[in-house]
Amino acid sequence: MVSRVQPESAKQGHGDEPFLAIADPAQLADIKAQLDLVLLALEALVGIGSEAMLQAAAQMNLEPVLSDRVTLWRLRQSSPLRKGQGGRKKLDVEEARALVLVSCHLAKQHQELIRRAVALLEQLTEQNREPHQAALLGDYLDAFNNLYQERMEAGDETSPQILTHLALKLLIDLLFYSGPGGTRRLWLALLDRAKSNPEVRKS
Amino acid sequence: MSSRYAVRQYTPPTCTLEVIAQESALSRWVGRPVLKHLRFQLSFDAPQQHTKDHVVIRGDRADLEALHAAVEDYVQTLLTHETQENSKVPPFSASQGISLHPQGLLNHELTLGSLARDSISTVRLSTLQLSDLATALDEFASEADAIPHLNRGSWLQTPPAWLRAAAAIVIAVGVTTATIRWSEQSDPALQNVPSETAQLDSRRASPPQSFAPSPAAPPPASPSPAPPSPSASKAAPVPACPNPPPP
Repeated sequence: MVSRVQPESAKQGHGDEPFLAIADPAQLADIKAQLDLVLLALEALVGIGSEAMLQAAAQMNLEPVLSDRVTLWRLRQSSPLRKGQGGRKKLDVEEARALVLVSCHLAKQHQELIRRAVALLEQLTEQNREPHQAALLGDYLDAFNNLYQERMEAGDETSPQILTHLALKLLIDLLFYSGPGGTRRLWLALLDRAKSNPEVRKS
Repeated sequence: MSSRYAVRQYTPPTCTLEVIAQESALSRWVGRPVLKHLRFQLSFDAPQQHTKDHVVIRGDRADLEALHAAVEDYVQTLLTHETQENSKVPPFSASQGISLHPQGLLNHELTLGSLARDSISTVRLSTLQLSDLATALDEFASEADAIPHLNRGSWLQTPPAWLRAAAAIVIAVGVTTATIRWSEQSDPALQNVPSETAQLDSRRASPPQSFAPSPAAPPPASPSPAPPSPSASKAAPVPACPNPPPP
């Protein structure tokens, strides 16, 4: 496991970086962005909110790291994709781990729904039909779209096509995160992405 | 020395993984089942497919481990990459010739390598089938360790007749409920049956007859029982097969 730590002086705050009009894959590769997006996908698909996430955290004894709404918001707000300059943009390993555990716990809880959504997606894709044509998927894509545009800096400028593709990719990812090896898979996926991204900082 | 021969079945909706193995005495030191002489049968039996299209593969411990590694590597690669474009997916190290690669966005081709048989060398999997396969393999891996043949002595090079007979009994009795306990000494936590293994429907109620080696001596129970009634509830533990007579 390799982490590349940039000296503090070499890093600018996120507020100094120009944001791209379209979500840059390099930014998406960021651990913080990815964790926020996985939770976003769950919110959009299942309709859960911070209450469910905090409950999951409590069930797994993660209260020392994640116990209240404000903390949760702060951790998710560390994503470079989010609106809002300034504020804490760091996420340490324990916090990342907490978000991983919460995400997979929720995915597992709702795996039937995730499965149904993926089955519909497979079906419609095979029939060469638009995913929106299934109510479950249509609602998911709308909700994802709305949440993304509302929260992300480049939200309004990101094309619906890109958002749809992103939402569907995340839906499929959720299927794998809802299985028995889910936590390990999400963790590894984050670390693999971070290999090329110098923003990861170990606590 | 006592040893147990047991069967475990993993039944996510679109495939069935059955593992039969002998439990090594080493389990006592490891604290969870350590298995030897492992054989497995994997059926891709999604209800949406015709039975004749169901692919069944069989193999030993090495095959199972290679399959698991290939599936895990592939799933991990899918999760790490933003898009499923073939060009971005790195080549897989294919142990035993078993590997996967994407076919479009939602389908995947499993190359069977050493598991190929009857002129079937690849299997096309949907994303759900891939996920179920990964789930079944993960479940097994989380519950037991399998060891290669240890050059210990010749008394159990191949399962003798009594062991095969016992295996047939175990299969005949065992698949009426979802799972069979690996051993008496196993961790009580192993008795918590994952939901996948509890899903038995009438379609899967008949035992894997071709999978079980046919017994040389007639066992007390018939090796070809009528399909038992499906159990919808989680498994009641079934006792492992009785201790074999000494060789």
